[in-house]
Amino acid sequence: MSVFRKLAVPALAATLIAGSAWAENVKIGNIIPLSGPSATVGQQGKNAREMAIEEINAAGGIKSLGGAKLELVFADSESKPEKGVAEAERLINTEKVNVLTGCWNSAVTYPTTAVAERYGIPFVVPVSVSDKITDQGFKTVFRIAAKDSWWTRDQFSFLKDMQEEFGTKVEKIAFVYENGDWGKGFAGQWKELAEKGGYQVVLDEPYPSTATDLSPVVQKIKRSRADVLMLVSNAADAILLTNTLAEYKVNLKAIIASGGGHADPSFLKAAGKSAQYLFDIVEWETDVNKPGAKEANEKYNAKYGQNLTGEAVDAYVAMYVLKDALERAASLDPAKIREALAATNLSDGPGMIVGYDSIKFDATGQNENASLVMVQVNDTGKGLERITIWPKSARRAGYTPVFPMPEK
Amino acid sequence: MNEKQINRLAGIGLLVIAFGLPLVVRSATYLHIVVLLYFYAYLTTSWNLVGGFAGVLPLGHAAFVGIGAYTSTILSLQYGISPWLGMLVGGVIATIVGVLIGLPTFKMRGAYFALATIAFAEGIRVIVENVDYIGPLKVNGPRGLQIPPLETGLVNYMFASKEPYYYIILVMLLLVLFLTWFISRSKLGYYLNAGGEEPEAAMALGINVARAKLIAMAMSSFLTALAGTFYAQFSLYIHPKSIISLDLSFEIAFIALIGGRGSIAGPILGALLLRPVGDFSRIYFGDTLPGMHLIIFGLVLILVMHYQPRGLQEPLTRLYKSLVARLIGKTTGGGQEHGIARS
Repeated sequence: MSVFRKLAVPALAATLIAGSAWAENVKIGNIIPLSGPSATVGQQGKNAREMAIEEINAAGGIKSLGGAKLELVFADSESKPEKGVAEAERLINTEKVNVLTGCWNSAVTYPTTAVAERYGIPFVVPVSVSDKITDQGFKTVFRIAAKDSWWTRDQFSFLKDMQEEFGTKVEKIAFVYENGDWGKGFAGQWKELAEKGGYQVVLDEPYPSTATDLSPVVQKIKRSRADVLMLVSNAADAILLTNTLAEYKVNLKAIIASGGGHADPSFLKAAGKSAQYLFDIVEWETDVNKPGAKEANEKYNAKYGQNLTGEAVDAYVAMYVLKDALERAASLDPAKIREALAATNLSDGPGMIVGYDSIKFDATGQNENASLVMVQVNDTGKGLERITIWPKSARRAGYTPVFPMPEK
Repeated sequence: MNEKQINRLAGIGLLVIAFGLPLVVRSATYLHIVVLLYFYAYLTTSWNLVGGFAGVLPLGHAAFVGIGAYTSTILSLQYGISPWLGMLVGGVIATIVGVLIGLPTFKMRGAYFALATIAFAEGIRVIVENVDYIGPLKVNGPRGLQIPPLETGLVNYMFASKEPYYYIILVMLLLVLFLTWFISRSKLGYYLNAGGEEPEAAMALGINVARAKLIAMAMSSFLTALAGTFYAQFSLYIHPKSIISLDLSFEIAFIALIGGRGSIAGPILGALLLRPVGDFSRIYFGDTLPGMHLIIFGLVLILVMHYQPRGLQEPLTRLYKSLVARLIGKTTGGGQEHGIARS
């Protein structure tokens, strides 16, 4: 089995051989969905981690540990909490990993971090947006991505800013979301924010992500006469919903999506023209103004044939956060690594390609600087692309957002 | 030594191995896998009361696991009732639901019955996924319920190590096996068998087939719900997609089909084969060949169904009997041929 792994990941094998002569490798256990419904995002996370590890090891590994190399161990969660928990037990007890990362699906991350807490193993969560993950009072959990209350807060601030900028009034809002953990979490906060903002909620419609026909949902949207439609969707349903909305010629002033399926590289390809003028909130965009971002994206694209996504960037950055912490901990003792992670203040150096200034964890383990950007899908002559428009300071030079959407 | 003594010796040997296993297997990882193996063997044995003996194919048993898990968890989270008590309440609720499902569906034959049970289970899952509260009870929709790791101990049904869970599920498994053995030799067992194979003939002989099936269903749903509580306490997190899912219902049926429906040893053999195949192929191929374990799982299923449609228990029983016969032959000398011929 170990032979198998080495064959499959030759780069890793090289680091194993090179590293073993010097110092003990640092084992990083990664629990991500490599099969099942979220396999594509899981694969992106795996690619991004491998790219980061190669760079770190090629640059000499962890110097304070005598040049120790980082070694990745991947485990498949299949997006199932019980598999994630079993894999966490195995990675900690049998593989003897020094730190854990994962698990993308909030439903998997939630119970899995409890296992890590019990064993005192530091757990870095690149992306899993559910608020409750850092609200459990755990000492070993560190999340890089913004949590879902921040996503919804920024969606509403964006909506407010747009109304002021373009002088268009929005009154009626429709909420349509996948009926899982993620969608329900967003919708709960939307309702509160809509009430505070004085909007009228004309539709509140959860739907199953596995649906093969969403025309009943789209008809409800049409009948609700909403000004703005807010969405939370996974991959296949994001495409289906966008195409069905275009087919029914539903007139809306704006559609605001929440990343996930709408940010997936496959979305623009499959939805095409139907996706024009869509707003999507994400953590990272390829046109972000940050040194190294463009190069990292080009390298990733050459290696794996697609652009970096917000999720992949968080996974990539997570490896650099770990490297930085290990460097300062100068030890493989889990308690020391945890302390070093808690004291993280990473603002530059290779790998820091996030859109904000620095990564710093608050007392709950949440990255307090994580921020979000809003993009619009539009064609400026080079085909459909995602263009950063909000906050205004980050807006791509020379681009004026289209709001409200032209009538169909 | 005769056949009976050998059987008894083998049984005692297996028991000693089962009870002594945690003394040898010190790794929490492997103990975790074995606990889940017993859990599935228990579920399948409970399922077997209906799916095996009564000759129908229920594919919605995850609903009862869910009822058991949710009942005890809600009672303990909201009202501080010990999960042990909640387990029994869950069992009673599951029994009522099981009978209510059984009443209309047992009149259906073959695939229609299977489809109806799927529909019921999926209905329950969709309800749980889409409501946050049922009356005053917080089910928390698709987000599921997390049991905070509070005080460990027997009363709280919560332990820091795997060993207590191991012995709890082992005892549960042994009890349900004993019950199955007892029923298979009782009048009810014969009624179920007769009703499953030739319902018309059985009814003509004056057997109330529907009633026998309902009794079996009631017992099966009660026992299945108990396992739900065990699962909730073992994993400390439940959500609709993991415990009321079709995947779970199907896996129970797969284990029964592979091991041999309607036999006592079948569910154990099925779990012994399928669970490690799933777990180890995930562990070894999970990162290099994602999804490989599902292919292996399917392949094993196809091979067994093709070459041993009655399940693994049949050839293995034959093998065991011939081994016993040979042993008898050796110890008694002349009776060897006789022993083999008898098997």
